[in-house]
Amino acid sequence: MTTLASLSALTPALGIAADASDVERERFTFLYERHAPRVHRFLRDLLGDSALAADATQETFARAFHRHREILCDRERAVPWIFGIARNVSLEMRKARTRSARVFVASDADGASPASSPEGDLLGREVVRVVDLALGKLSDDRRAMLLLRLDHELSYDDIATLMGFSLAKVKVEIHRAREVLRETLDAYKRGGSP
Amino acid sequence: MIDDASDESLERELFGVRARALPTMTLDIDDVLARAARMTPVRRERGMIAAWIAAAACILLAPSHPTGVLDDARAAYSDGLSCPASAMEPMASLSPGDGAMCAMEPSHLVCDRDVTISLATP
Repeated sequence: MTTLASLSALTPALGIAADASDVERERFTFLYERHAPRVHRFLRDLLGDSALAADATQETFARAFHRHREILCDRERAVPWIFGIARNVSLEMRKARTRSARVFVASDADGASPASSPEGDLLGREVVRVVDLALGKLSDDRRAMLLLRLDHELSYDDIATLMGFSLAKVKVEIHRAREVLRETLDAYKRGGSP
Repeated sequence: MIDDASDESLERELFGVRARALPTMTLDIDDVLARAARMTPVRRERGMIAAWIAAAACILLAPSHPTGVLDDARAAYSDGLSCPASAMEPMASLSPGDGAMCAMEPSHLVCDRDVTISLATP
């Protein structure tokens, strides 16, 4: 029957059955190990909770795994694409959570730090505190764009695509976010406390 | 116009220091793969449902038969019977229910009721 034949041809085209070979799993694992820490950091900054961000990171890569062949073939596009999934996951998780007045909280600035020296620890903690404070002043979208640009070094074009905004809007939003960051830093430098 | 080329090096450095100071998560690829595996049946089900709906729509919307056209596969008798092309072997006899006897030839069909239908030959 023609219909059944076309159905069976359609099913793999939908990308539903995406069983990975060992090599593909290995390559995906490499991608995960390389990018999961920064995706976790991004999600922690969006969700304000390190544990929740860890869960969101796992969810992000689980979703990414369904398109692993495309990701592995086009590595240049892989990073912005993964950050796009991460942002969607963060939005879903935020919706699922009970709504609080402010989602972002500097929750774990004093957590385990890989910094090697006491001075480094101290500096790191201070930087985390000041930057987190500045990020807390930003709207969710503006914060995401600033992080994607300065922390994760994505291009303006990629950020515009990922966020679904125009390039001009992205530039304006990042510019304003940087102003807030600079003001917060200046206040810290002046008074020792932002 | 916003100057997007302005120097971001200081801010990037700041974020770099911050990245090193923040706690990192424990990596667990097995958990990722397990989650991905749990997602698969749901996606497959959704895909199959969509495919079946598409197929059903095709069946319902497609014309049941090209009206008034006799193709190579079928030839209609004047009395409403039809002979499938698969039965068209040289000199094969058919016995329709009404008792009419037909003899099949490669190029045309002859019945004993004065019905002669030329078959399309490639």
